[in-house]
Amino acid sequence: MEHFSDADLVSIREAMQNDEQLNRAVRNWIKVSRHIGANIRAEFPAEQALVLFALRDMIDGSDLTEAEVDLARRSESQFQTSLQNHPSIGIIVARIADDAKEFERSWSLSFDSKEGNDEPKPNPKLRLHNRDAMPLRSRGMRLVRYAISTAAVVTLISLSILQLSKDNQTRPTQIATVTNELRTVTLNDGSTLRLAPSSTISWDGEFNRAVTLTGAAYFDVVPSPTAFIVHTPSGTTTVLGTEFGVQTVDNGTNSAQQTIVTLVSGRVSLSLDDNDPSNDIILTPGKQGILTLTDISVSSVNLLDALAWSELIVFRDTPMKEVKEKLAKQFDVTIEMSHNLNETLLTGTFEQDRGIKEILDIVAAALGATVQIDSKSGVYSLSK
Amino acid sequence: MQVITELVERAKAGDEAALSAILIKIEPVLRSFFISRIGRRIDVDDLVQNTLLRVHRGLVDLKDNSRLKAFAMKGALYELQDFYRGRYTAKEALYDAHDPPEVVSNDSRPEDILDVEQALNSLSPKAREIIELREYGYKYEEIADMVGSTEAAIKMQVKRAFDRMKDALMMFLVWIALPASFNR
Repeated sequence: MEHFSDADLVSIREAMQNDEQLNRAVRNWIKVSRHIGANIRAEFPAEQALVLFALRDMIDGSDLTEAEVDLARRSESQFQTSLQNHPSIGIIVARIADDAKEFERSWSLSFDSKEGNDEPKPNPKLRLHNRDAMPLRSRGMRLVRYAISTAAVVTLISLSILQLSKDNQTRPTQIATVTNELRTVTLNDGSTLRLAPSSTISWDGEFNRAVTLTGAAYFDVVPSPTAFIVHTPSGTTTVLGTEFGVQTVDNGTNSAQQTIVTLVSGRVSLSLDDNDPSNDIILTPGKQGILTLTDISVSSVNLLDALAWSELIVFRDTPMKEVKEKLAKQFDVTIEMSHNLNETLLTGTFEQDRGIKEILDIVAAALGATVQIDSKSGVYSLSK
Repeated sequence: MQVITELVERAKAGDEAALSAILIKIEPVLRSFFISRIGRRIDVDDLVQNTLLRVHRGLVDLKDNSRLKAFAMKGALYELQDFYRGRYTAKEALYDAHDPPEVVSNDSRPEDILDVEQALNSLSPKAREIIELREYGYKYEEIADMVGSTEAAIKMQVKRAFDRMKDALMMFLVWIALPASFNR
């Protein structure tokens, strides 16, 4: 009853006593809610199993007791059934993963700044699009609800249990996504990549800023004297520090293989042959290079459209008037904005799954503006 | 962190002072974490204490002494999930936005035979998802955060679901009332 005052409750009870239809509907609602609650208690995996699954990328076998390993294994088949019947489990798992990131932030604040840390630190960058570093409260793992399809979860459960049981220090590293899964990975050098569905990124031995990609990924590479290299079937992309998207397209024959590189910021070098730099092409922001086995072509693109597959919203020196229109269209909402912001330029990369509210919060913070939402009409107002 | 690893080694060897030092060091981490998730509530004290208890009891099972963070995180997340799932059990499930209790039904009414499954079918997948999350123990504000929406929009979805169910109920009542009218 936390949302109602005593006076509210009295009013509601009176209304129910005076309105037989309302009375009946409420009693039925309660019945249905109880039924759903009973189903949850009967069919949801145990809380600990949900936690273990959510932490599959953050913990290894040495962090688990035998009982926990046993629980993870026993929960495997239940997960498959439960998720099919209750998609909300995917949302809960994503929320727990988000809780874990929040815990790591709390831990870092207490320890990393005071003492040497022999555990991996979170990405230290503070950039508009870097969710790990964003100081705002809400994190955007929500899309995992959609990303964790049943097939993905079934596959990931198997993978995660294998990971919990094996030493992964000596094997080649391979990170793969399945259909509908979109995954953000932080590499050891602090660079992040957003791996699109049905894609694979891999490297041999210790990570040394050289990866092989099939499928598509959006890279945010931290600057370093060591070049960051992305190998694809039809070429090589070399960068020092920048943001760009890479898609590989395989139409079934070698001659049809393409690599599409879209550059958001910085510079990248595209190469068909690592041993022959004479044909290398330097790409500049806003350009897209298409590599086939024999040729590289370059054209100007609209970043928002060209990177739509990454489920990112990319603005580079974009007037706020245009930002407002694109966000309103993207999220099907109404946004009102004071005129003095129209020509203000915005640069930022946002994950769609953050939701319009959080994106506008970030935009407002970046511009020193305020954002408000009318709870009745749902209209957002941005003003400065 | 080397300091922590050494403290863990000593604590596992039975050094009570080392164990106390560990608990003192991680207590503010836990407090900060729980406050960030559920706000400044009296429940935070319980969650912190319960997690410290887990660490205290389970430290002996920690295989890699340098992994205290993962170990404590796991315990904190277990506690947080326990908290969510127990959040409404002390009351009576979730109907705070819709539940005006103490309305007595002392006769068998037609709607009482309305099949629950039929009523469930009137819910949209999104509404059912929200109700499941609410029954699990999350607040509407938290659910909004989880699905990238606003609390107002989430509540509106629930209200629409309620209205649809109310309409379905009315249809049902009309349906069972019609034959009686014809017979008269």
